[in-house]
Parts: sequence; C-alpha cells; structure tokens
Amino acid sequence: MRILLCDDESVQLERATTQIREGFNSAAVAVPEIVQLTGEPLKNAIETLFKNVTKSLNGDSVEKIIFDDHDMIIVDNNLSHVEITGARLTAEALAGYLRGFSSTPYVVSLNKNPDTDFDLRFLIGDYQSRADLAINTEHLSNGALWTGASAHADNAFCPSYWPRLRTAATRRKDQVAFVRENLDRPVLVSLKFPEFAIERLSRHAQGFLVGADSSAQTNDGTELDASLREVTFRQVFEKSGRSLPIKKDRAGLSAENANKPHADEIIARVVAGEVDSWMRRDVIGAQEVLVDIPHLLARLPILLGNQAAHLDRWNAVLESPDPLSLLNAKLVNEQLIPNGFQLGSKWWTSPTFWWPPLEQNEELRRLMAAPELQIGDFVFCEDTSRFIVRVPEATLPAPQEFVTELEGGWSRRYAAVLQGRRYTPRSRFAA
Amino acid sequence: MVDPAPAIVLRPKTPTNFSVDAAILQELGERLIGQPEIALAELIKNSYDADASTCTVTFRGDSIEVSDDGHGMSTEEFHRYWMRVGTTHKRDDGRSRELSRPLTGSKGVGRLAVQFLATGMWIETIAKENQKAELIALADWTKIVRGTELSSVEILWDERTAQTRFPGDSKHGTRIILTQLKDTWDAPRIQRLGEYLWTLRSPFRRRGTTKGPRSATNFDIEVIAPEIEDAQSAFDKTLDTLFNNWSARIRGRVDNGRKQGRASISVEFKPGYPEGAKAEKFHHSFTLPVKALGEHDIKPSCVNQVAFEILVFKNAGKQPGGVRVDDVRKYLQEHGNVGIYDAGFRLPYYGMANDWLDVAVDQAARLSISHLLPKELAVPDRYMLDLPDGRRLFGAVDINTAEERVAAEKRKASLGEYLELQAGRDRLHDNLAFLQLKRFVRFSLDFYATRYRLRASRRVEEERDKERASQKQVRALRVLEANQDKIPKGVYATVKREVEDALKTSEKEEESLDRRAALLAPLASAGMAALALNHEFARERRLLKRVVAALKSFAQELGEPKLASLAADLADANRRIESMQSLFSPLLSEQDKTAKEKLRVKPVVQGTIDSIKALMPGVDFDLRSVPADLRFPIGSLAEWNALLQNIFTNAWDAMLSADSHRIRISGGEGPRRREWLRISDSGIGLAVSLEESEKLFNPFERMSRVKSDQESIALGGQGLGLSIVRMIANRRNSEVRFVSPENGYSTTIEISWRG
Repeated sequence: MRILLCDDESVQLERATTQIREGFNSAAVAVPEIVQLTGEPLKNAIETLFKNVTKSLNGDSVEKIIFDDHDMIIVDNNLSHVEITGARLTAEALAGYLRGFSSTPYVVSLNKNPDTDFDLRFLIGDYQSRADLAINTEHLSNGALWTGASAHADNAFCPSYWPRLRTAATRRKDQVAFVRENLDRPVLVSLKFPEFAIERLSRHAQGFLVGADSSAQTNDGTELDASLREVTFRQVFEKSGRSLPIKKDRAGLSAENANKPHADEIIARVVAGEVDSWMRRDVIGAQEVLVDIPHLLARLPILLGNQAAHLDRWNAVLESPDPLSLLNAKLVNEQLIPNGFQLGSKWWTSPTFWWPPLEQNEELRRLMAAPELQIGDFVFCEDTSRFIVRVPEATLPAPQEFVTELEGGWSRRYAAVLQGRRYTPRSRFAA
Repeated sequence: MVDPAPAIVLRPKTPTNFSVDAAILQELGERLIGQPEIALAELIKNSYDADASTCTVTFRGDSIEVSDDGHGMSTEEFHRYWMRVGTTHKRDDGRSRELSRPLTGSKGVGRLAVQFLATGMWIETIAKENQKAELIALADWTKIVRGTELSSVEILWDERTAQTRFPGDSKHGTRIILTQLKDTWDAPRIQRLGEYLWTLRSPFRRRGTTKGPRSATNFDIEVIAPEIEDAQSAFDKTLDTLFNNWSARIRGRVDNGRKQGRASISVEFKPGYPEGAKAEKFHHSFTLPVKALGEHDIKPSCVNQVAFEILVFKNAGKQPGGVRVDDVRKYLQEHGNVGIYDAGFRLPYYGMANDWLDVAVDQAARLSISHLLPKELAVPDRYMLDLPDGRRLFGAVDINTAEERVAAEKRKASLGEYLELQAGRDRLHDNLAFLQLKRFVRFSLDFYATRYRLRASRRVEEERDKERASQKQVRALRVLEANQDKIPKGVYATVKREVEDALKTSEKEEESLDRRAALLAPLASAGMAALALNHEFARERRLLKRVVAALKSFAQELGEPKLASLAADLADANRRIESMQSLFSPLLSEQDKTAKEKLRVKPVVQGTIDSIKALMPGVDFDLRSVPADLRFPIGSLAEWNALLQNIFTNAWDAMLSADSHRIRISGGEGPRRREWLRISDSGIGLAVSLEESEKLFNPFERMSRVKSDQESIALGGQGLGLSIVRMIANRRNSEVRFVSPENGYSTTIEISWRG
C-alpha cells in the first residue's frame, strides 16, 4: 500500500506519519509506504494539478503528477501556509479535483472537524466533506481505522462507518471500473436493485439520483420513479457538484466532443466516489433497504440459532472474516443468500442483504416468535462496532441510545460513549 | 445682655469721612466688566434703555462712536445720574421711560465701561424734552492719578445750541465717542459683541424696507467699520444662526390671483424634524380663494399678489450654533408670529400681540381637523394638534395695498373687495379680501400641520418594530386621551385602565429584560474565553497523550515503576482536562446550539452531570426519579446544558460546608399537564426565605454563602448563575423558582413547563 501524505506544516506531517505507522503496527499489518509532501513540492504539485484540470477540461493531454499512482492521498485540511494566490487552501477544496484528476482512488481529509470523533448524524462521519472520509490526525494511529476490526481499536473506538481504509483503495478501483463499464446505463439497473428496494429508497436516496433534474422533481411520484430508474451514472456526474463544483466543467467533460477515454475515466472516478458515499449513507447507512451483518443480527438474532443468548457469539460473528459461517446454516442458505446484495462487496466492507423480503419473511417471523427462543438483550454500539448488554450491571457503563438523522424506521441506534471521545452533536442523545 | 465693648469710651471729635481713590473707577471697570466687548455692549444697552430706535456703532481708527436716537440727557440728568457712580437714573419699575422696554443695562456700569474701553471720551447729547440745547462733555482718564480723591476727577462739560444730528437724522439722542482705545477691535470681537446684543435687535428691521415707527420691539444696531472686514456680518452672525435654525419653512405665493392665477405653497422640513425623519419638501397648488369646508358660494379671489415665508422653530432642546434655547424662546415670544408687510412697511398690528391667524383660538378649542384643507390633504391622525403657535413662528406676508387697489379697480371690484389699509396705517381693513388673505396663509399652516403629522406617523411606523411594548402602550394611551371626547365615558375608562395595566406589566418585563441584557456582556466574554480554552485544552490533551504513551513505553522498556506511576498520573490529568473540555462541547456544535426539538430530560441531565462531575468530586447524583420519556420544551442542548450546569454549580457551592453532598434530580407531570424538573441539594440552604428567593434571580445577586477558606474551591460566584438560569428558562417558556425542599434536602429548585 502506498499513501501520499500532504501537509503544509512539516511537524504535523511527521506526526501524521508516525500515527499511521502506529495504526498499522497496532493492527499488526505491514506498514505501508508513506510518501510525504510538504513545502515547495506540495505547492508545485497543487499548481500542476490545477494546470492538469484546465488541460483536461480543454481536451488536452496531461502530464503525470505526484498525486498519481498512490492508493490513498491523505491531506491536512489546513493548507493555509501553501502560498497559492486566491482563497486559503483546504483539503476540502482539493479533494474533488484529486478524485477526478489523479489516478489515486481514495482521498482522506484530516482535521476538518477537530472537535469530533464520532458524528452521530448520518453514520458516515462528516457527510458534507468532499473527501471520501474526514477524520482527525489522532485517528490515524487507531488500527481499526485501517482494518475495521474492533480488536485493533484504540481503547475500543471503532466506528461502524469507518470504511477499512486498508482495502478502501482496492474497493474504489473496483467501483471505478464498474462505473466506467456502465457509465451510460441506469444506476439502479446496473446495481441490480430489485423493484422492492427501489420503492423503499428514502427521499434522500432518491434525491441523490434525480439531483437537479427538474423534470424528475416536478413530476408526480410515478414519473419521478420512472426517471429515478433511468438515471445513468453519467447523469449523476452531470448533476452532482460534490467533487467538481463548477457545472460548466462537468458539462464539458461529459460533452460529445470531449476527449472520450480520458474524460470518461475522470467521470468514472468522480461518480464512483459519489455513488460510494450514497451507498454508505443513504442506502446501507439507513439499514432500510440493505442491511449489514450487525444490524441484521440485532433484528434477527434467530440467525445465531441456539447461540443467541451468548454475547460472545454475537461479537464473534462481527469479528469473523466469514461471518455467515457462524450463523445458522439453514437460514443462511435458504433465507440470506437468496436475498444477498450480489454486488455488495464492491460497495461495503461486509455482506449486505435486501431487508424488505427478510422483513416480510414468514418463516423468520415464525422462528422469532418461538417461545423457546433465548435471546440476549444486546445492542450494537456504532462507536465500538460491538454488541454489549443493553442494561448492564450497575458498575458497568450502559450504552446510550441516540437518534440519527437518517430516514426510515431504524434511526435509533446505540453508542457505548467512550471516555475521551467526542460525540457530536450531543443533542442526538436526547432527541 | 453682654456689652460688646464696655471698656471703650468714645470721645467727641470732628467726624471723619471715607475717601475714595480716583483709581476706583478703573478697578471697578476691570472687576465688573472684564472684557471690552461686554463694556461696549453695556454702552449700547444704554441706547436701548433710552428708547432709541437705532444705535449706530462706528469703529474708525482709534475711536468708537456709539450714537443713538434715544431720549438723550438733559444737563440735570447728566449731573445727577451720569456723573454719580453707583446710581442709575433708570426707573425703579425696570421699564424704560417712553416705550416701557425692559431695562437691560447693569446699574451704572455704562460709566465704568467708557473708562474701561478708552482713555478719552466725548459726549454729545440732546434731550428729547429740550431739543434746543445740547450738552457736551469731555473726559481724559489719563489725568486720573492713583492716590487722588475720586471727587477731584474733572470732567469738562458745556452746553451749546443743539446742532448734532443722531441716527435717522433724529434731533435727540446721545453720541459717545471713545478715543485712544485700549483694545484692538476685529471681526471675532465684533461677533462676540453681537452675541451679547442679538436679543435686543428687531428681526423686522432686517427685512423691512423702512425703519418703521418707534416701538418697544423696534430697535436695531448698525455697525459701521470700514477698516474691519465683514464687521456687520460678524455682528449679525448670531441672529443669522437663529434664523437658519428653522425646522420647517413654509412658503406661499400667488401671482395674478384675480385672474385665476394658481396659488402655490411649499413646506420644507429639515432633517431630524420630527426626530429621525429625513429632509423633505412638499408642494401644493390650488386656485384662490380658499374655501372653508362646506362653503360653496364664494366670490372669486380678492387678492392679487401675495408672497409669504414663515419659519417654524423647534424652541426646545439644544439649538444649533450654540444659541441658548431660553433666549430663542424669549426672542420669539417678543418677535414671533406672522407679520404683514405692505410694500416693505411692517404693519405693527400683526405680531405676537394679535392672533390674526386664529391659531391660538383653534389650539384652545383643540381643533383636530382643518376647516380649510380639502379631504385629500388630510391625514387620519389629529394633525391639527401639530399646528404651531405664534411663539414658534417667524414669518412675513408681503402685500402691496396700492397695487391691490389698482388691480381691483381694473376688475371693477367693489369697496371692501381688496386689501386696504386702515386710517391708522397699522392694519388692514377687516374685509373680504383680508379674510381671503388670512385663509391663504392659514391654509399653509394647516398644510404644514398635516405634513408634519404624516412625517411623524411614518417615523412611528418605521420605529414600530423596534419599539418596546411599553412605548406602544404609552402611544396607545395618548391616542386614547386625544380621542377621549369621541368615546363613551365608560368605555374610555375601561380601555384606559386595561392599557395602563398592560403598560405596568410591560414595564416590569422590560425592566427584567434590561437586567438580563446586562448579562450579555459577561456572557459574551465567557463564551469567547470558553472557545479559546477549548482550543487550548485540545492542544494540551494531544500533547499529554503523547507524553503518557512515551512514558508508558519507557517505563516498560526500563522496568521502572515510578515512570509508570507518573504516566498514570498524567493520564488522569488528561482525563480531567477532557472532562472540563466537555463542559464546552455543546457550544462547539451548531446543531447543539439550535433549538429544533423537545429534548429528553434524562440524557440531557446525564450528559451535564458527566461533563461537570470532574469539577464536583464526591457528589452523589441521583437521577433515578427522572422519567425516561420526560422531555423539555423546544430548546437547544446548549441552553439546557447551561441551565443545569449553573444549578449544579450553585448546589456545589451550597454543599461546601455541608456534611452531605447529594444532588437529587426528579421529574414528573403535575396538574394541567404542567411538567417539572426539580433539583435538590443537601447544602446549607438558601440565604433568604423562600418568599424572598425571587430576588436571587436578579443579576449579581449572590445566593451562596461560601466561607473565605472555601472560595478557591467554589464554582462561579459571579452572581450571574441564577439570572442565566431564569433567562434560559423564560426564553423556553418555562418557569424557574425555588420551592419547598424535598424531604431530606435543604434546597429545591424547580423548572416547570407546559407539557
């Protein structure tokens, strides 16, 4: 793995480098190659990036830049020491351009929200960030950030929404390839979303796809759906300003006369990032259309068979590289696998399943209602990615319920609320 | 009774007298007058007091000549009064001899003034009673020697056949020529002279083409100073300033009124009149004559050519140019109202003594609607109450009776249908033409009143949103009072009582609001400090964390338990800092500062306890009695957090001297869906009785009785805590008060709201 680390302050750069190494060491995995970029070379690299942006928009060929060919670029948000004319530079201002105009697939911004460790709103971190993930420097030393395993967590802190950064680049490359292949095909069709899933998409989820398409927005529900089903990846690019905020730039890249293979590559990179964020936040995050393993267990502990009363077993499933192997084989084969999201592995770190048919499944309902079923009263903590007892003995801290801002019936979640971690906004705990 | 001097025996001898040194005149002059412009002003005042119509002051070379057409002095008067220091020939009733002017000169100071101003003096005076004889006198003050008797000072004098002519070719008057001046006179000094004398000067003389008859108010001073640039304008400056200080100017004009010529009026308002209004000018034109409301059959215009200008003054508050408002008032009291000038000659009848425009009459009758203005010019409010009386006006109406007569004769008008002077030449005939002239001028005043009210109403509308409730209610009361006569008595009394009641409540609330507003400054500072502190905390925590990790690593490598212990201590310190940092956390999130939902009480209380418990070690918090589903009214986490933090810190202070350190938080629902949260502590109780506890919510009212040795461990203590608590509670439709303590506790504070 090769990480390009950018900061205009060398002390901070060293600190972040150390933290990344600590993170990998704590997870007992090979420390990646870390390339540092600061001072004049950083300034030059940024200038070249924007020259490349201009060339690309003009249909000209571009030169290779230092931002290319890494697995991940990590940029400190405060780049105010970089002497570039115009507004003070931030990672946020660069992230979208790095996504589109460099061959490095994944962009992380650092320290945009220095007072936040865990964002309680949409379970994706800072949902407004243009980067793929916005974290703080001190999170880099947490092994769980890289592996997703709670066992590697720094003092148990392992947010469920952290996207296993060690594999994120590979996943993104797959996503880019997938989008490039299906660029002019409808998103929902390409992703093989069944009809029932489309019907359950939240307004937010629909809004991402129809975006600024006014015809879709002004029509009645049926026509909106029709439009929704037809929105292509290319149209998503044209509508979404998250990565490339200037509409004219997007239109130019998407135009008929654009330098096709090069422009389409840029579009695919951008759209892959956008769809990834959409999947994590609006589709999987809400756990209304697709449900991942921990939330599935919380709803259908019957999947654990006669182990449903044992907390260890619940957590063992989460820690296992093959979680389905620890579940009731019959139910897995008959109920889960047929309802699995086949392309899920491209978009999330664990298997995901279509929730509407499982929710309606008579067999599962019957089993869940069985009087002899022993189920422990455990809740999944989104900040530790582990189950704990809902009402523990007096000496142990109890999980705290909070209300996310996600749409749907599964907005109430739990957090262990670890000491020393900052959860924002705290009002979600009292909502 | 004790004899004050029993041992002294007075022996009869020749009685002795006081003697007065001749230098006393100089001394007195310097002490009583002080400045040359005051000295000269005193001399000029003598002219005014002598019923002069004009006083001419001529500065030429090394001399000043003050000449007036007053009643002059006979030889006897000169000797009896002028030559006697310390007395005055002025009458005891304080009025001048002929015109009954209020006397202005200071007692006998005039004589001292001449010596103060110059070394030589020459007087020529002819008494009005004896215009054949003239007295002349010469004084040379250089001959006065200190040490000689005052009575030995010689003034040379003589009588001769009258030959001097005074201003206006008057055959009587006084001329004083001062020579060998002691001071230099320039424009600034002459300007200061003008400042002392402007109130004596008639404004009419400045605009009339003739001097006009002698009268109490007809007095003016002319300054002739060919060697001093701008002397007259410097002298006139104060008077000019006064006349430029108008707040509104009304102008009207008609040309060829008899030929249906359009009459036009304009009202020009200066900015700030009424307060806050911008400069503005209104115009209106119409055909004369002005009809009274309901009048139909009227004769055509009997006035042909009229022009007028009326200045409206705001004779209250600070006046521009440093003119004293009292002087302005007195001046207008004497010279105000609207005068009529016939071919430049002022008709003395029309002035302050005569309310010829019926303004005072209508004001006394509290006329609220003009009889002259057409409906389209009227405004809804009772605008006529803004009609200015003569004491705020200075105006002149220019007519020419001779020309009016010619115009009338051309149109074969009957007698009485044109403006005509009465035989005494002081007024016009009270005929139809005069009535039309009067209505024309009065129309313009009424028009002014509507425009003023319009501007005032607009300002009220502009200010309405910014106004406090009490201001609105005061205005409502004024409107009610103004319309009292139109409302049935019972209704008036009831509405008035209700509004007054509302006013009292509003004033009370505003007072409380003001008190709370006083909190904002310290709160703002505290807010800034909190943010800065949070930033510093975060930095220090990161540093500490790295140090702790390094120490732990060294301790392990070296097998050194002391290092491990040190690392543990530092880790504890870090945790405490973290806890303190969490005190500010609601301030950092925009969402936590935004009130958009009804937050659950229990997690909010728990969160506050978690953030504050590091500052309150050993306190047992019990919130088991808070229902899980109890919710605050709509408010932000930051607000509830601040409210609870303040209550908890108060409890901490109260428990410092107590044996038990328990805080119980309970909640529930009372009658009429009233929900409540109570916080009880086991401290030393309130410093006041429950009945008096309301005052503890006032800013800077401290409730704690922290011992001096415990001050360093107390929290807060600025006397702001409970004010903040109440401010937040009120803002969120909640009430907060102390209630009877719950069992086992010494103080209980309750926050309640409608569920």
